[in-house]
Amino acid sequence: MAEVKIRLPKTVAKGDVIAVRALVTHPMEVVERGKDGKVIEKVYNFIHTVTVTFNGKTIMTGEMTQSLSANPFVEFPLKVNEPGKLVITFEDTTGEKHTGAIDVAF
Amino acid sequence: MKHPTSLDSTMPRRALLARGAKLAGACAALAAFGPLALAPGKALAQAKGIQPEESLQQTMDRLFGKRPIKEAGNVFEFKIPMIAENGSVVAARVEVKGAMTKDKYAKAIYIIADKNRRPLSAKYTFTPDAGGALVGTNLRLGDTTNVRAVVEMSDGSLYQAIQEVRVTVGGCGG
Repeated sequence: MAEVKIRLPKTVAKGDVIAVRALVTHPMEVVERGKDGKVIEKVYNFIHTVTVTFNGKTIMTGEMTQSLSANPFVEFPLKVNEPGKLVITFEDTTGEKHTGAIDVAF
Repeated sequence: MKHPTSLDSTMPRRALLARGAKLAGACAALAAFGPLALAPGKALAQAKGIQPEESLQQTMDRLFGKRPIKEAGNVFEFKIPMIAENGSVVAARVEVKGAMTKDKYAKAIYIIADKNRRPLSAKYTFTPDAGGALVGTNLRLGDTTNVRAVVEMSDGSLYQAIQEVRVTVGGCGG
């Protein structure tokens, strides 16, 4: 299980739209080619989907590709009308899910 | 055969490639094969999340069809450095301005690197619950390229902003 770090702004006020930053430790393998220039066929381990939910409601979903850096970071908006739990899940091509959660309070 | 001037003109590129090779290993080899790229095998193409290798035009047609795309103007702000020393980590940020309502909000943000073999780098989809639309991420760029951000509003209208990024050392942009 890779580590997921989530960072909130220092202050969160009710009704604000805040920018949340999340970082996951992941190699994000790129497609490799042999000397003949052909793609080497194997399962490349990279994150293809990210999902963000707040109190169970989906905020954002993302399709990620290998054109994103290793240890990808993602920044996204969140409108906080109530305190709650923010959950972010990264799913990679090996079927593993990397999940991070943080409580948002005022 | 080799003319002295043409040899000279290739030198900086060679030096660059050699440097890339040290830093990125296999990456440089991939970049050298660039123009001769072969289509990926069937098994690979079917693997989830792997984008097809295609030209920018094919990507744009696949994603947006024949829909008109307007200039970003004041709709959103696209931030990406003009010069990237390291192509494997290029910070990009898109922030859509203006109030979001349940009826009119930014539905999706696409980030597309024109010259990457698989131009679509990322697509983020928002729900009205997000309360806004912004996304920040780190891209891999294989070479100096235009990078474009396309924002799709909930009514289907499209806006884009384009910025050229000069890449000193390629990041094997996939």
